[in-house]
Amino acid sequence: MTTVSARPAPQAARSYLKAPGAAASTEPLVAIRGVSMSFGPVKALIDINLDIENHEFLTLLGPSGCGKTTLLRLLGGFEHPTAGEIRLNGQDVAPLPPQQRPINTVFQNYALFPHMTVAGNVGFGLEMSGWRKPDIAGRVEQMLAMVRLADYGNRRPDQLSGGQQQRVALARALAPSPQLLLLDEPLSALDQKLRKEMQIELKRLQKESGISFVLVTHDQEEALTMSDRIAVMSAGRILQLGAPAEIYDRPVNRFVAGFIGEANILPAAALGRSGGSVAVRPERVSVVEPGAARHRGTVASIQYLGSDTLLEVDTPAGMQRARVRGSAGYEVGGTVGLDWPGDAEVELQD
Amino acid sequence: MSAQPFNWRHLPGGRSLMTSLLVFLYAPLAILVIYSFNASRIVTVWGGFSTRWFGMVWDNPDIRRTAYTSITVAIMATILATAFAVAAALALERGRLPGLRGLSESLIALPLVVPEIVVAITTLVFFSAIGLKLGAGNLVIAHTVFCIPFALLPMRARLRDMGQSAENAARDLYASDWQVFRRITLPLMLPAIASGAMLSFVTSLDDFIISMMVADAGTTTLPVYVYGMMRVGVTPEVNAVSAILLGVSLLLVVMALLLTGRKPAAT
Amino acid sequence: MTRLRSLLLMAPSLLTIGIFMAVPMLVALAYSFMTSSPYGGVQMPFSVGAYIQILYDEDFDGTLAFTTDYLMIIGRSVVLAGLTTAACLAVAFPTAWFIVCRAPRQRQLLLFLVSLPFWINTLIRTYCWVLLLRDEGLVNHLLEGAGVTDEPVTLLYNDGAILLGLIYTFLPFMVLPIYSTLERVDHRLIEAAYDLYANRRLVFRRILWPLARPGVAAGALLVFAPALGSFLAPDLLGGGRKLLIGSLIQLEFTSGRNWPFGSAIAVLVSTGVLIAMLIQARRGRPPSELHA
Repeated sequence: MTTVSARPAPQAARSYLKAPGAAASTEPLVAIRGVSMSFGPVKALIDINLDIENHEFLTLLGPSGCGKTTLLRLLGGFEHPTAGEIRLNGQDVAPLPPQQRPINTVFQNYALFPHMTVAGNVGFGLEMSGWRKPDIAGRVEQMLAMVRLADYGNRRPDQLSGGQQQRVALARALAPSPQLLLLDEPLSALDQKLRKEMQIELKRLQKESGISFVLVTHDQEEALTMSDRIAVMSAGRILQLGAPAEIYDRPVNRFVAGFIGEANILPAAALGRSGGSVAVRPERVSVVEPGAARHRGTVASIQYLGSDTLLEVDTPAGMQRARVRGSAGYEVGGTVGLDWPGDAEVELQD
Repeated sequence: MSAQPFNWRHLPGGRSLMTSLLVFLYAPLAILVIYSFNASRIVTVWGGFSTRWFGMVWDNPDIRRTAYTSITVAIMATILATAFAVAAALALERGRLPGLRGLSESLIALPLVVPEIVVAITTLVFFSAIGLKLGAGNLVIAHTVFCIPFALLPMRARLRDMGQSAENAARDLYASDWQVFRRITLPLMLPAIASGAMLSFVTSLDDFIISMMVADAGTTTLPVYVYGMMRVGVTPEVNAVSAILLGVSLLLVVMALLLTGRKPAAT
Repeated sequence: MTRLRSLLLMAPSLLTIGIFMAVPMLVALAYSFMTSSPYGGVQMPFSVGAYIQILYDEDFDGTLAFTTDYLMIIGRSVVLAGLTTAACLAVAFPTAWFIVCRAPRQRQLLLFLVSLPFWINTLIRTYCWVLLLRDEGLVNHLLEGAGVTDEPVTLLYNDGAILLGLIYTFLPFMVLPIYSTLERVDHRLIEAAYDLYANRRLVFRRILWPLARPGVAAGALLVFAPALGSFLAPDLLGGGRKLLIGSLIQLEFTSGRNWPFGSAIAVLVSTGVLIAMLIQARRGRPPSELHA
């Protein structure tokens, strides 16, 4: 198995930064403190506080325009925050340009250098940080083997498929052993099948290299499958940060509950609870005989989803959805009962 | 009666309009070239195929001398205009010019919109006012001025089309500003630079009015000399030398446009 | 890129065009307010005599008599340049639209063919028409051969020949900017218009024309301005008998030796062009952007 060896950080970048471990042991790899970003009157980011730990796969998830890409560009050094600190190993890197940060990026459309070979692309960062020619060749070979493109070194980017270009972009960004790898919607240009493959591949590369990955995506499924932690963003703020299961099972507010998976939002009073509203996942709802049920209503619509059926039921507490196995014979207009276990109810902040 | 299938792309008479336009544009040029191979001294009476007028043009010392001036001036103006234009293209497409962008854009557009005769006489007036007498040097300066915008066209278009993602990626991989330019921007814009250089060469070679006003007796350019021949009358030599100029321009422009491989950047 | 570095990169072009084009235009402006020296060139004192001369003839006894001679020249030039612009527009718009509607490969080829003549020496392109139109030229040969006439018809040395030459010279200037705006029109807009019951004429008037206006404005400027000051077509095809602005300016600076008067005319032309440019820049993007 090929792994990314723990080479020292590239000289060009290293000279600006203390070695890891020089900072206090409690300091995370990256500490984002009070970062705000405005483009003229538009506030793209508002007081962001976020830690990125060593060896973790963190995903910034949110709809377009939520600020996730801006946050990524701040980490990469392509933009500089209007306020706040971005500390890497305890040192503020917010004002540094990209070439002075041991952080590399996999760009959205890969941004491979069209006039260089694959090997030239992968070796570029090493060359720029002063590696010797023979060392570069060896490292490039190692990286290409790692992304399973061992024999492609002499090709040009335009001779590769989308998936292969994606791998080259990964190899290029990982070659200088950055302390942090940023991925800007890396899979958005690939088709469904290839995307699934690359999700597994990305996760493998992250595990093998031990490098922290920060992924930006608007695809909730992608975020749930790959991440150690997810930061859900909206309107320039981080709404919730946590492990995928935590985000899915315990969304903090309506937005998170609705953006990741589907949710029935009910007023807490209708369930005899205190507080504002409560979310219940449709798949936790079971359809029962009307008589004994906690909730009753009329079937408003039936949607067949293949293995499952989604019922919309008009209840006194509002329209609710239930996702049930199979396609058992419900009828629009029929009366059904709805029920769910108590732990399916999640209290929301708003 | 069957209705025509709906197709808004179909322009009635469009094909014949296009054909007539192309005939209008190219037939006169084709006729000039045909006449230039006419053996007869009476230009419009066909006397058989001959290349003798090209030989006479080649042997004409005045034409050789003025052609030499034209080519020298064009080479010098091209080198200067291309170098200036590369720098200007980078500044305009990649740089920050707060408060100066409008002025820069307007100044650079100036040679394209001010009528040539005005450029010609103002340049003449200026050179005589400051007493600048560099011989062909005066021509080189005047030509550099109006070559810059033409050299700039393909370069700016290229910088805009290629976007900044490759340059950003290089910066992300620890390249300094100079390394980004040397390793990424320059190689990627090289075809556009070559194309810009050829366009300025053609523009300089083709110029007539400005050269006519600015050149003195010793630095007459070929088009100015040919104009003198035309004033005297329609002769086979004029046809031959015109056909040569036509051929050189066509060759260079086709090469320039093939290099950039995009839609021609004329006007 | 830092501001200083951007400025340094911009400097060579700006200085070259500034010193050798913008400053000379200002010098010509100054000259237009001086009096001509008998040896060519200019002398003090400042005067507006050059401008008065456009409208008034000075008799030997110093009295001024109103004259329309120069106004006629200016008027004829403006009319010819205007007709050239109108004719170019009438041909260029449908041509540009026709090209836009072709398949991409064919589009590239047609565009290439239409713009190619732009790069060919104007002197030679104008001379081609001399070859065709002169008394012993091809057109007369064909007419005589077909028995239409026995005598050669005088086709050269009139306003029609000048107009033809101007259209021939400047037509590509009109097609390309219009093409580049029409090319950007989202085809779904046209389909949407048809979908909403517009016919061909209404689609042109309500969709294409408004969207192509910046291109039309740019093209009009690029044709009108050089046509107004054109020298070669009037000289070679008009025989230089009736003066136009271009040949008038040239004449004043060569045999006429009246630099202030020549400058004054040049200032008038440039002012007109610059005003047109400003109007156009206000309306949309600067003309240089449309060149791409």
